[in-house]
Amino acid sequence: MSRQALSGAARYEFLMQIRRPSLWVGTLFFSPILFTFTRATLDRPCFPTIEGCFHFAPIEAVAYWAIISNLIVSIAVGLLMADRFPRDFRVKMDDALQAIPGTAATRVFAKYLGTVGATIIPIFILYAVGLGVILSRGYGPSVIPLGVAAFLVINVPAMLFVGAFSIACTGFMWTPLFQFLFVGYWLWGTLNPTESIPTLSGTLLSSGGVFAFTGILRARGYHDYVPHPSLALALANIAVILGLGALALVAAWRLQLAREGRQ
Amino acid sequence: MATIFTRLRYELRIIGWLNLLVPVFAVVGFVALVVLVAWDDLHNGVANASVNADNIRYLRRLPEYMLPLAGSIVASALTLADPVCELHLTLPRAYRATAVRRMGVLTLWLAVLGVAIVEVIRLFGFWHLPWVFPQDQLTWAAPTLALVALGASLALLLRNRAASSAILGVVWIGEILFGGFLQQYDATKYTYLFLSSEVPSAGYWLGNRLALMGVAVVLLAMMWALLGRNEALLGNES
Repeated sequence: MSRQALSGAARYEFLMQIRRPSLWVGTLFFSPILFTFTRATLDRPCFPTIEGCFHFAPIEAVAYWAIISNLIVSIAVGLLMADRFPRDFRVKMDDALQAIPGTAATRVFAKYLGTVGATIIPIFILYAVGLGVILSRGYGPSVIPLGVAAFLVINVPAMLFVGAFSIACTGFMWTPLFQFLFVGYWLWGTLNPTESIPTLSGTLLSSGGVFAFTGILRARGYHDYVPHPSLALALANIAVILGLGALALVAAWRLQLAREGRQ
Repeated sequence: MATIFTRLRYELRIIGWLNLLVPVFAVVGFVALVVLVAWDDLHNGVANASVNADNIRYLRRLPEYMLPLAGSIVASALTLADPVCELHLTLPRAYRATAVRRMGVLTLWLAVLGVAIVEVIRLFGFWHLPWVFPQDQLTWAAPTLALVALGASLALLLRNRAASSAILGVVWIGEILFGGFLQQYDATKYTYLFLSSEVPSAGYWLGNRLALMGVAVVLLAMMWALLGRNEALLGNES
């Protein structure tokens, strides 16, 4: 896998995704969550938790925003990336792509890097508008660096994880089926574990960002079920989900190799 | 009569077994999880009455959660999927009529599943919602119609399946996660999709169901209008 071919292919995939109007229109549709977030969280006089009622510090305001936007928007990332692979077959681009320099690995990893990079941009803009809302409520300028940090430790790992599975699964799975399973998985994976349904949420396999919320950002009062995860546990959580994403991509690469071998 | 069946069979084949099976997978997966939880609880000495109450609470969510999501994702994939759309547009029968009929076949299939799900849950004694037939079928029918219509019109409007399913997914998850919050405002409480699951005793239940049907009618009218834009139908997916 030559670096030149990888960067060229990734740039192509990036432009293909960033120029899609539906990426931007889609993101616009999610902006009501800004309203929901503001009304549900920032407008409360104080936040009730099992540890008592407390007032938000800037770090809590941004960490909550990161968690809430992650819950909703990662779904969109996964679904918006779900048609990148099948599209190559539908518009009969796969043969043309095979004819240009680069291996199966280049095609899979470049598709992943380019598409996920482009999809993160409108999501980050939406997130930044949310930071603006927090700023306008008088939380002070520290909201900006803290907000970027929260985005990096909560949203980015989740999007990398979700994007990898989206690229890998749609390589061999019927897209609507993947989309349905993915949304179902996301709901299941964010359920409150006290609900007596076995769920991944609250475990190291979860991409909800709960570990980073307390372990890295030191924000108070989100969930009762991982009360005080340490920094090490939070980093382990990020490493685990990134590792799973990498595994998915390796699987996608092997599948692509097998597919090209058959032709 | 024979023509109707031939057409029905043709439409079913165009929709494809995989698409028709998506809502079935949804139901099977959900039921499997509920059975797993019940089995686990019973083996860990949880009282029968409490397991029963859990089953009732989970199973009333089955038709209202699963059919709208699965149905709408399939609907948004179907409206743009016709590989011989160009050919259709040359026929005396409007493509619009064909597309609407296809959507009708999908809705009919979802309705068969919906009635079957409710009746099977009732047969096992886990259906404890206060309404009787046929009103009780509005538990799944209203949100399913609204989301199917939303999926189809979004796909046509954005000319993109991935974007429309992204919005559907966000709406679905958002309505579940922010359910309590959405009950606080009239506009969102009357269009809340999962009222029978989350607040089965709400006094405005029927109003909510009728409002959702109204939303579905408006969205279907939009779909009808969008299906008339032949140039847009012929263009590539954006």
